[in-house]
Amino acid sequence: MTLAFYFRDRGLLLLWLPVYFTLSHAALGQPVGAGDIAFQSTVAGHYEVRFDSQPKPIVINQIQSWVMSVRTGDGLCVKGAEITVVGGMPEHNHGFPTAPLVRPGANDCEYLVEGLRFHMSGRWEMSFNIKAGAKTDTLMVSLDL
Amino acid sequence: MALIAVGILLSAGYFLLDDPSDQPWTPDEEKTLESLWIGNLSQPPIDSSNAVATNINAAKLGHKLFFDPRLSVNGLVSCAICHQPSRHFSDGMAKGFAIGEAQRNTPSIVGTAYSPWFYWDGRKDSLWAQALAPLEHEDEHGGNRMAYIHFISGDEVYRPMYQELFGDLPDISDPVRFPANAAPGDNPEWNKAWQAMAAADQESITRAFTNLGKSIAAYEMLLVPQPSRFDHYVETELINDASTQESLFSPNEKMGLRLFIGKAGCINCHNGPLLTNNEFHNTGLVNSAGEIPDKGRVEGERLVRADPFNCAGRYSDSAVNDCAELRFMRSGVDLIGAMRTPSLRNLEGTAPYMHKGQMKQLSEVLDHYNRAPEAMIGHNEAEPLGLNDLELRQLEDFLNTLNGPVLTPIL
Repeated sequence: MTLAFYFRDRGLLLLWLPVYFTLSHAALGQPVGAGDIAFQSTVAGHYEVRFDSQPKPIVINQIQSWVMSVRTGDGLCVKGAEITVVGGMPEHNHGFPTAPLVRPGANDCEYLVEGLRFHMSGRWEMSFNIKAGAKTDTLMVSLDL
Repeated sequence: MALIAVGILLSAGYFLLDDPSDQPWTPDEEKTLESLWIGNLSQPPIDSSNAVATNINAAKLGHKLFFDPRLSVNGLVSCAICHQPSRHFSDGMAKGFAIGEAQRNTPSIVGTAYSPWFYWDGRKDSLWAQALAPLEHEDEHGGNRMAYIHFISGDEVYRPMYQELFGDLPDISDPVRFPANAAPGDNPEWNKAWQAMAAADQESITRAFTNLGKSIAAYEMLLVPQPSRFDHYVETELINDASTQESLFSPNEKMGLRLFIGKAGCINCHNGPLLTNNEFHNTGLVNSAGEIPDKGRVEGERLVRADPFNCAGRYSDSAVNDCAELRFMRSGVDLIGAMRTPSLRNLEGTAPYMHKGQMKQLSEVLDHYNRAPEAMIGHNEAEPLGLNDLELRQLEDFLNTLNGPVLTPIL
């Protein structure tokens, strides 16, 4: 599986997001599988993000939390970021069945994504908005369950 | 002439070989089948809001309470009136009927311990909170919590069972402090008596009342479905036993299974070993004649958030942070008219179907999903399936392979 996390400056993303959701995902990279998100990270734009899901691999029909590690491109922890997440299944035209929240985690780099639930198999699209100081970026995650 | 005959034979052979019911399952399909297999059903999730959820003595008490009609205002209604073991713990009627008629169809409670939500609209978030509601509903058991605690306190079987689990019952010997009947709610006489009670007395009675619900929940936790013919079929697939597998499913049942996990998309919501995602979906069902459309989950979400018996409430045994389902519950217009996905196990014993019992036959249900009509309220998530009559029959044949016994615990 190829990693499919994408950073873009927020302004560009607003133009790009509808295209991303409605046209071919293949043009933008392959989604990650249920077992892969735990082991992948990437760097682009302002921040580098690494996820650690619980449970691993990700399962459907179980409420779950992920640890999200956020660093700058040069490896520094991003403290005090405000992070929100939205997502759903474009193929089925519905969002998350829950309202997940992101809060600070165990150390300066870490955040806890709580209240995630995936209630169907298939392609899920997630969008994390990360705001730290003056810099705001969005991380797109495409996940096949 | 000979060439034509050969051509015909080859053509016939082609179509026979192309019969999808003869095709072996691909590795991905096999993985999907395994995801539905009852062998993958783990223990029910821990209910942190119920400290006795897995306590066998609580299950014994709950078992007795479940079948005891004395837990009702007229001495005739037990939980088992609507949740009949012989009908997979449902009642065979469009809408439940005890003292009066319920608003919705009685769902089976087999396997419900796996759901984070209860009732068609999810207005309760634990088995114990759900179990308490009918006890005080005027159309169901019709009683009140004060009367129930009098009954338990005065019963030589129940009192010691209760006290062994939960400690002493409240001392309710003073009839001024503890009248015969009292409860918050719609009954004006009982509500007036309840409001006249001291807050501490209300608290002790309500706590004892919730312990009855937690005991009933401990019993209901044990009600799980047993393997069906479908599960045996999957087992033969997993051990590559083709000859036994062939004897287990007819070609039509196999085609129905193919449709279920493929073209018909049933598996989107009916997934996992219980064939339900326990989530809420508006599928465009018409309501009972003469009734206004049912608001479904959008109302259930409001009710469970305000419920004093919810996971975050004072009668819950959970730390607030344990209540993830409640904390991260969402609302939204797409939940208007949405109902909880039911399990598809044991449909043979749980007709009629849907939240109002609108459909008597599985064929009606399948026809509904095939057409996917506009919703009366909110938006129908489903899309028309475009299945032909044969495919609909095949799907129905497959659904009938999901019938099996229920584990009846020996307590």
